[in-house]
Order: sequence, then structure tokens, then C-alpha cells
Amino acid sequence: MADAERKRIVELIRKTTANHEYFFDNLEDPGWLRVLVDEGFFKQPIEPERGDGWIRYPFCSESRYLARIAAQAPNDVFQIAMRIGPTENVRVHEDLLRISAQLPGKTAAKLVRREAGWLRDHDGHLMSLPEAAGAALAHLAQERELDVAYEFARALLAIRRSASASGVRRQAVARFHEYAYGRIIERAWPALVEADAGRAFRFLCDRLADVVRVGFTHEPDSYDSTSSWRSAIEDHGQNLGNSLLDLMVDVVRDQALGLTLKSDGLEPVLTELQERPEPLFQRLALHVTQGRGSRELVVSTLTTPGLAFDAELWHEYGELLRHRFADLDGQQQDRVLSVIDAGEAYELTPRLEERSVTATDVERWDRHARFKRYAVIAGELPDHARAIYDELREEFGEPAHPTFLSYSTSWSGPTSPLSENDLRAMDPSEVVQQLREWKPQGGPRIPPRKASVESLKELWPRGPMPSLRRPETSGVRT
Amino acid sequence: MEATSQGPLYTPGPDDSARAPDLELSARSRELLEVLRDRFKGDAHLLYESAMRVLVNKSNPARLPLAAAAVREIMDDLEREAGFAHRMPDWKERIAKLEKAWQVAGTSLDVADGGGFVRTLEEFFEEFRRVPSRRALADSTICAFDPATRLPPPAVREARADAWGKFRRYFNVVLHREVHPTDVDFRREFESFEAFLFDWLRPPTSADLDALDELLSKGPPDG
Repeated sequence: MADAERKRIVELIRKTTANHEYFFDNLEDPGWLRVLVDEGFFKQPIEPERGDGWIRYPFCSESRYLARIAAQAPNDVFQIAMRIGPTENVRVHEDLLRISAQLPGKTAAKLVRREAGWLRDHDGHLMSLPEAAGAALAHLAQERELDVAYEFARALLAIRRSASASGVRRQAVARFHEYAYGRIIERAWPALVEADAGRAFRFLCDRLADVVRVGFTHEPDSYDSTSSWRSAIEDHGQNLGNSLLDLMVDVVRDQALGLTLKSDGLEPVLTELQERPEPLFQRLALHVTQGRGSRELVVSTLTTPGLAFDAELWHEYGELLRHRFADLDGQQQDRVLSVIDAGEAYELTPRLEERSVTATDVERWDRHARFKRYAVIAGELPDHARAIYDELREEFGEPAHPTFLSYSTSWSGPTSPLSENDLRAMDPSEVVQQLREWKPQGGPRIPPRKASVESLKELWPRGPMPSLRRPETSGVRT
Repeated sequence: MEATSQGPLYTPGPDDSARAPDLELSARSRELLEVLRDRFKGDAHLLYESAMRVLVNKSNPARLPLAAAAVREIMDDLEREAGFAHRMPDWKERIAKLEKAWQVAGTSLDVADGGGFVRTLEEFFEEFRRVPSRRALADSTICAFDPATRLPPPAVREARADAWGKFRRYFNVVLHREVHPTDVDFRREFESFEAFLFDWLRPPTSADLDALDELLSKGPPDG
């Protein structure tokens, strides 16, 4: 009787897709596992469907059921999950990761290791898998299964070259959008840091190095263009934002600053950053020194040969100088000033001469470089240095943004030469006279005459002013 | 007598053995006929009607094998329409080709001819491997005409392919007179086949929900 009943039940479940899905989507009882396994369920998940130029990853009711009850029957679910056949269906792998986040550490690690193998070979879209992956990673970290956690993280957070991007900023890509990438780090990294701060930080630095290598290192001379694409290590309006580079710089920066507050302190963080060859990491080190360095470290950094006049590092060096110079005592300040006074020692090379650069030009560059460095500490300069700075300011003018190699602004227009308040205050005949006489001065922000008059119409005072007439009736030709 | 899906469709009259009885269709049979006519381009609906006409003719001593033949033809028709031609390899031609290549290889010491022989063998086995199994044919046919816009889960596909295979085997042995079922037994299988076609081609998506809810609330069966 039991066999007949069982057969009837299984036939009912298998009768149609609707029955199968309804049953599994509403099943919450792990007591069914043995029967279902004996009857051959769970072995082979539903595969992706492919068409002409598309692929669909259907949900798998069986694996979703397992993910729902994993916490109630972890051993049974683990055994079943490990026997699920190979599949390219991302939804099933998502469910397997959800299962792993509910298993004890050792079994979770076995399952995730298998998933890491699949992930390394999978080239398609990951749908909503990143979220489940982040939870699995955090769980492994909490369970101290660090080797598998990092093996999985290497596969999940791998950086590669985009097959389709045309611009520099989008050459280095992750397997999914940088928003999801950031969420995974946000979710999983606290536990990884807790378990082994150095390893966790090193991993993030490695990913940032991958971004630089893949997207911002240009042949033939391996030129690193990150200083062009990320103007400031700190949050700043000059940073373009919304890229993997920006995300990873922010992540490494914030992790570095956070780690310096831990018992090990600043040294391991700076060592990790300074041992890397990419200029971006030297900039990060300078930024960390600015925020966390002792006076002795600040002086040592500011007087390090090669740092003071390295164009790639200038913004962070300049900000370190700006923010910390005042902390130094007189002797320490003098040491820094003597480095600045020595200048960059520009050389008039044959290559520069071919480009018609002269010795006078080189000397001017040197003075300008020193001027920028004085400018950021102008308010703290001792008298002798102040005199030099004043001379240089006389020559070069007040610098607007001395710690930036270049500075971008934006403007939208055209704009009217007269504001609404101007118009209200003026007699119509005065307005007409102004428009007749006004000539655009030229330059990118000065709109052509016609555009300005059009925008003037938009500003024409609203409200009861019967004595005013519109410009087009006053004989003003555009 | 009104035709239903339970019991005989026709009660023989006093003196109509020389005339084929009228076919009165149940609502279910009518619906299935409509499904087969609308969904398929071939003759599945005609074969189904023929099977029913043959079955009701109690004076026809070969009615069961003939009905089984019609059902078997329905299955072949659907497989053909799904794109699977029932073209078994021409074994005679292939073996002759293999034999010729072997004769050349056997009498000649030339390595190139040996290479040609091996190539022919490889082609032979490659073509053999490409012939789909009965089970693969069944699965692909069922999936090709599933009215859902997506593939069924493997558990459902396996169950359906199994069922298709069982029906094919049953109707084959009846058609070849290897077994001699009673009218009642045959009718039972025939109606099972009708139910199978319904569940596949016009699935009653909510008909079993109450039974499934009961299952879910009761819990797993013992043993």
C-alpha cells in the first residue's frame, strides 16, 4: 500500500511542469528529502535555454527547495547538493551558494570549492548570483575557511579586459557591474579582515593592481595613466567616478585607513602599498601618511628623494604638504623647504631640444614647480621662504588649484548678458542701448550674440510692466 | 447510450454486424481530437479518430492490433513532425562501403590506404552514434510540442519520455500480436495514452492543486 501511494504521489508531482513547480515551490518540510532522493529527484537540474542570440536561465524549483531548507537539514542537503549533476544554469549555482551559506564551515568549503571551479570556467552572465556569492564568502570568512574563501573570491572578483569597450576607463571589467562588486566587498570583507587583516588587504590591493594592469597600463613603455583618470585619492569633484578604478581606489583607501587604527597600526599598511610598483599605490601611501602619519614619518616622506617632484604623485604629495606642514617644528620644516628649494633639476635633453625647448624654458619649469609647492603652504612659510614665494607669485600669478596637474570645470549655456534683476532695474531704452552696443568678448564661455539674446527673452521680466516692450519690437537686430 | 470515457462506447444492436457502428465521442475525446487537429500538421487527429472507430467495431476481430497500429502511427507521426525522420541507416550500403575499404586495406601495404580505411571506420561509427536513441527521440518530440514556452524540468521530461516509451512498447506488442489483451485492458491503456496526451498538450494547470495542497499538508508518505 505504501509503495502504491508513493508511486501515485510521484506520478502526481511529475505529471506536469505546473505540478512539479507548485509542489517544490511550496514545500518547506525537509522530511520529504529521503523520498524525493529515492525517486530520482535533484540529480539533474534544468538547463539554460538558448536561442538565436539569447540565453535564458530558468529557476530550478528543486534546488530552490534545497536552499530553503538547508539550515534545517544541513548534512542531507549537503550530500544532495554535491550529487547534483554539472550544469550551466546560473540559477542553480546561485541556489548552491545559498545552501553553502547555511552549512557548517567544512561542508560549506567543499561546496564552495566546487563552485569556484565552475565559476572559473563560466563565461556568461551571472544574473543575481553575486549577491548569493557575497553571502557565501562572508560565511566562509566567519567560519574561518579562509583558503577556500580566497580561492572563490579570486574566481568571483577576477578582473579581465573588456571585449567590447572602446574607452580607456572601461577596459578593465569585473564579471558583473561594479555596484555588485562593491556590495560583495562591503558584505564579506569585515569578516575576512577580522580573520586575517593583512591577507584581506593584500587581496584588495591585488585586484586594484589588476585593474591598473589591464585597463590603465599602455604599451610600448608600460605607461600608467591612472593619474589622468583618478585625479585625487580622496573623494573630490575632480574624480570622474562610476568606474571599477574609482571603486577599487576608494575600497583600498578606506580599508587602509581603517586598518591603521588596528593594533598593528600604520607600518604593515604602508609596507604593502609602498612595495608595489604602480604609482597609484605610492599615492595611496601618501594619502594614508597624510591622515595617519606621525610627524617623523611626514618629514621623512616629504623629504624622500623623488617624491617631491614626481608629477604622478604630485596631488597627494601636495595635499600631504598642505595638511601636515604646519604640524612640523622649525627644523623639520626647514628640511622640507630645502628639498623644495633644490628644485627638480630639470634637464634639457636632446629630445626636448628637438621640440624647441630651451634652457630658459627648463629654468622656468623648475621655478614653476617650486612655486606650486610653496603655494600650498604659503600661509606657513618662514620669512626667507616667503620672500622667494612672493617673487614667484609675481612671475606666475595666484594659482587656482595648485595640487592638481589639470583642473576641469563645466558650464552650461548660452547665458544672457543681463540678469533678470538687471532687466528689472533698467529702463527699456537702456536695455536696447546695451544690446546694441554689447559685443561678445570671445572665449568658450561667452555665447554668440544671437544665443545670448534668445536667452535674454527667457529672462524677460514676468508680471505687469506695461511700459516695457519686447526687444524684437524695439528694432534690435540679432 | 451516451458515450463517456468510462466503459464501452458502443453497445451492439440486434442486426448491425455488417455495418460499422457510429462513433460517439465523449467530451474528452472531442477535445483531444481538436487539440491534435490544431497543434499538428500531420495526420495524428485522423489516426486517433481511426483508432476509436476501429475499437467500437466489436465485430472486427482484429480491432485491437489495428487500433494499436493507429496509436503507434500517431507516435511516429509526432516524432516525424518534431523533425526526427524515421530513417534508419541503410546497413547494407554502409557495410558494403566498409567491406570495400577493408579489401583495399587488406591487400595493400600502402599506409595511405590504411589511413583511408580507418577514416571510413570512423565515419561509420560517427554516423551510427548520430542516430538518436528511442528515448532521445521521445524526449525531443515531447519538448518540441510542449505548449509551455520553456523546457520542463528534467524530472517531468524523464517521466514523460518513460511513459512514451512504455506506450510505444505496449502498442507495438499488441500490433504485432505478441500479446492479446482483453478489450478492457486495452481500453485502459488507450485511455491512459489519451490522458498522457492531454497532460502534455493541454495541461490542466490547476486541476491537481488541491491534491498537491493535501500532499503538502499531510507530509511525506511512510516508507
